[in-house]
Amino acid sequence: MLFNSGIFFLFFGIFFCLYWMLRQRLHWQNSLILAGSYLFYGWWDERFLILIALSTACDFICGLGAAGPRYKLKHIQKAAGLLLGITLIATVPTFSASWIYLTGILLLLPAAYLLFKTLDKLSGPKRRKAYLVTSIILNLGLLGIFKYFGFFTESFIDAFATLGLAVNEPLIQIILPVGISFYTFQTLSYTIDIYRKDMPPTERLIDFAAYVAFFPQLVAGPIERARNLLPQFERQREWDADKTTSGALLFTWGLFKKIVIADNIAPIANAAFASPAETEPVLMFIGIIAFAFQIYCDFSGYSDMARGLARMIGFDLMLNFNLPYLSRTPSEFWRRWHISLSTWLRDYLYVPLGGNRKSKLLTYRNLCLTMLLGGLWHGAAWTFIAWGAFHGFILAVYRFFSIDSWISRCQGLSVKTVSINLSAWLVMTILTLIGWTFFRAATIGDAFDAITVAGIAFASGAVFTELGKLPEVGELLFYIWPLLLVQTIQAMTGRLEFLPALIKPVPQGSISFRQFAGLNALLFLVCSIFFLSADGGQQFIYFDF
Amino acid sequence: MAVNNSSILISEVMAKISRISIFGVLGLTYAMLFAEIFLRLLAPQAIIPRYVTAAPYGIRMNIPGAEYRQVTPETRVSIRINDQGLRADQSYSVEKQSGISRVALFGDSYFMGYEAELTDSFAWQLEQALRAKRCPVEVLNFAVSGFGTAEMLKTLEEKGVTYSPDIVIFQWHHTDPADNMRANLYNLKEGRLLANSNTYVPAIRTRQILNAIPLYTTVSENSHLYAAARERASTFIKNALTDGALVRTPVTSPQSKTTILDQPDRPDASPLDVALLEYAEDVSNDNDASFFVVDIPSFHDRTSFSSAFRLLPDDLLESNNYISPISIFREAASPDRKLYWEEGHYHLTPDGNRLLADTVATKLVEQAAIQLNCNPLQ
Repeated sequence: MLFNSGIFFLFFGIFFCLYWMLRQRLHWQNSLILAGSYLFYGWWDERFLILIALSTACDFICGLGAAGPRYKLKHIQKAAGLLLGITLIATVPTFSASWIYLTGILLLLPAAYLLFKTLDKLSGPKRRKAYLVTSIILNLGLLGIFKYFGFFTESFIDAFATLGLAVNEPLIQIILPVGISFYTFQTLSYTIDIYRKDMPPTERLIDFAAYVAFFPQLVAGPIERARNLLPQFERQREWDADKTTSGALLFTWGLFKKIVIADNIAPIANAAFASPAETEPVLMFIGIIAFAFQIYCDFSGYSDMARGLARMIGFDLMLNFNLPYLSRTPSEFWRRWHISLSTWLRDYLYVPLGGNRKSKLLTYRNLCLTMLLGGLWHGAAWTFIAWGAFHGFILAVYRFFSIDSWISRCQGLSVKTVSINLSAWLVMTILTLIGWTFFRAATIGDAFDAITVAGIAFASGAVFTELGKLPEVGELLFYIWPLLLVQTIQAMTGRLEFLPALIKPVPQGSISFRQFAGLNALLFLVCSIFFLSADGGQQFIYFDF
Repeated sequence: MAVNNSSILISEVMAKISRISIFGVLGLTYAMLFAEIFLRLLAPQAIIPRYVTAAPYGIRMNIPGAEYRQVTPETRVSIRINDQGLRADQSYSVEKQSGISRVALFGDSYFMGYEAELTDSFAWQLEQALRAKRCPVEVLNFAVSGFGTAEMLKTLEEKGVTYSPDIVIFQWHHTDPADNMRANLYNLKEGRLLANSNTYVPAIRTRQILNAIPLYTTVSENSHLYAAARERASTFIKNALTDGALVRTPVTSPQSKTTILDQPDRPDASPLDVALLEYAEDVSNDNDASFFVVDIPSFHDRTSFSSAFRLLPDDLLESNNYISPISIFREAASPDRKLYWEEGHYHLTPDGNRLLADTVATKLVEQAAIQLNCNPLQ
C-alpha cells in the first residue's frame, strides 16, 4: 500500500476516524495501530507479516532477557501467540501454497522455547549478553538471508567464474521483504539500548509490536529508536486540531515532493543513466543533478509523509532531513541526510568500533568501515558499497586535513568567510553528485562512465554554453523551483516544520497576509498534486532498501 | 423567557450556519479560481468538448448542426456537424450522384478529425488524395468520438447503408476491444454474433441536461479546470465500466491465450472483436460495398509507434483489406516531425492525417479501383 495510492487514502481515512473514536482507550488505540500496520504491510505480501512477527516476538523476549531480571512464562506465551496467530492469518488464505511457512513456525516455536530456557539458566551478565547476541544473530540473519543472500551467492559465482570455475546458480530465489532493513534496525536498537541500560524493556507486547510495525514509518523510516517512540505508545494521546492540521500539511508537502517533483524528473535521470557511455555529456550532467533532486524528494518526501501521518495521530517522529544539500562538508552532510540512519550507524557501529577515541588510523578505519556498511545497508550491490566507501573516504580525507574544524570556524558575513563557505559548499555539492552517480548507476563501470562523460561536459565548456538550450533543464527547473523557494525560506528562517499558525484563523474572522499566503501555498500544492503529478505513480526508491 | 432564549439560540445558530455557508461558498469559489489560473499558467489542458446525442437507433451520434471549438496548447480548431450528424460543411443526398463513388468512414475521434480543421481531417484528405488519383469520390464521415467497433457496426447497419457506399472503411484502434466490451451491444454465443442490447448511450441524458444550461456550455468550452476534471472523471468511469464488463464476460485472446483481465488497459482483440469486424464485412458486401479496416497506430514518441493491428489475429490480417500505415509512419518519423499532437489527446496532426490518407488512398486504388471509378487515363 503506497502512501500515494487511492487505497491508502481510504485506509487512512477509516483508520483515522476509528483511532480518534477510541481516544479514551489507549490499549484499544494501540491494538488498532497494530492491526492497521499489519494490514498496511500485509497488503504487499501477507507472508512478510510472518517475518515482522518473528522479529517482534524474538526481540520482545530478548529485550526482557537483556534487561537482567528473568521474564515470566506469560511473556513467552504472548510472543508465541502473536507469532502463531500472525502466521495463521498469513498462511490460511493460501494454505496449499504456504503451509510450509506454518510448518516452519510450528517447528521453530519449541526450538525457540528450548533456546530461551537454556539462556535463562545462565548467570546475570552472561545471560544479558546471550539475549543480546541472540537478537543480533536473528535480525542480522534475517537481513542476511532476505537481503544479501542473492548478492553474495552471485558475487561468489562471478568470482569463481573469473577463476574459470563454473558454479551452478542457487535454486532458490528470495524476494526482498519491503522495509526489512528499517524494522530490523529498529528492533536491534531496542535490545541494544536495553542491554546498555539506556531504557527499560516493555512488558506490553501489543505496544512493542505496534512500535515495530508502526505503519507511517514501517517501510522507509525514519528509523525510530525505541526510547523515543515506544514511550509515546504508553502515553494517552490527545486530539489536537493544530497538530492534525500541521501533520496534514507536512504530508501534503511530502506528497508533492514525491509525486510532483521526484516522479516527474525521474525520466531525465533514467534517460541519462540508461547508457552513460552513449549519453551526451551535458545530458549526463543534467541527469546526475536530476537524480540528486529525485532521490532527495523521493526519500525526504516519504519521511515528511511519515512524520505528517504520525503527527495526525498524535506521535512525533524524528526529523530525518535537514536541508542536506546546503552542507559544506561530508560530516555536515551526514548530520543532515537520513539523520535517523546516520545517528543509528554512529551509535551502534561507529562508537562501538572505537569511534575517534583511539588512534587516528583507527578513526579512519572506523569511518570507512561504518560508511561501507552504511552503503551495503542501502542495497545488495557493489554500487552501494562503492557509494559508502566513497563517503567513508571523503570523511577520512576531510578529517585528515581538519577541513571540518577549519570551515566551522568560518563564521560571519565578511567577503573571506562567505567565499570560503561558498567554495566549501560547491566542492561538497560536486562530491555529493559523484556519490549519487555510484548510487544510481547500474554498475560501477557505468558510474565511472557517467562521471567521465559529465566531466567532459565541464572540461569542454559545454555545460556553460549548451545548458540553457536543453529542454531538460527547463523541465527540471519547472518542477524544482517550489522546493528551492521553500528550502530557501526554511534556511533563512531556520524553521523546518510546517506549523498550523499559517492556516489558523485569527479570532476576528479575518486573515492576515501571512495566512493568506499560506493558504495560497497550500492551494498551489494541492493543485500541483492533482494536475502536475506524473502519470503512473512510481514506488519509492527506498522501498528497495 | 425560555421562548426568548431559544429564539436567540436559533438565530445565533442560523447566523453561524449562514457565516459558514458564505465562507464555504467564497472559499470554494476562490479555490476554483485559483485552480483555473494555476492550470492556465502551469498546466494548460486540452479543451475538447464532445457534442453527442442519442441516435434513434439506440447509440450515440453527433448532434446535427453542432458547432464548437477544440483548444489545446498546440492547436485551435472548429468542428461543424452537418444536419445529418456527419462532420462536413455540406449535406449529402441519400441518392448517389452519377459517376461519383462513395466512401463511408466509420471510426472514433481519429476518423472524425479531432484536433484538426475539416480540411486537415483524414476524411477530407482521403477525398483529395483519391481525386488526385483520378477517382471521383465523395467521402462521408460517419465517425463519432468514443465509438468502438460495435457502435461503428450499428451505425453502418442503421444509417451507413442507406447512403449506398461503394467502399466501407472501419477504423481499428487499440481502444476498440475495451470499447466493445463496455458497449455490450453484441456478444458471442457458440461462435455466433448475437445482438445483446439495443442501446448504449453512456451519460447522454446527463449531457443533454447540462448542455441545456448556457453557463455549463460556456464553462465546458472555456474552462481548463472543467476540462481537467472531466478528463479524470471520464477515465475513472471508463475504467469502472471496463472492469464491470470484464467481470461480466472474461474472454480469452485468440493470440496470446491470456485473459483480458491480464491487461485491462489494452486488451488483445477478443473473438467478439474479430466477429464484429467479420460481420461488418458481410454487411458491406451484402450492400455491394468493399470493406476495409485501417490501422491507427499508437503514439509513443515522435519516432516510435506501434500498430493497433498487433492486437488482431494473423489470419485476419492476411486479407488485403487490412491497411496499416505503420511502415510509412516509421519511415517518415523524425524528431522534428509531429505526426500526432503531444499536448492534447494524441490525435493525428494535419501532417499525420495526410500521411494516413495518402497510404489508404494508394491501397484503395490498388484494391478497389473499379468501385471507385478510377480512371488514370482521364
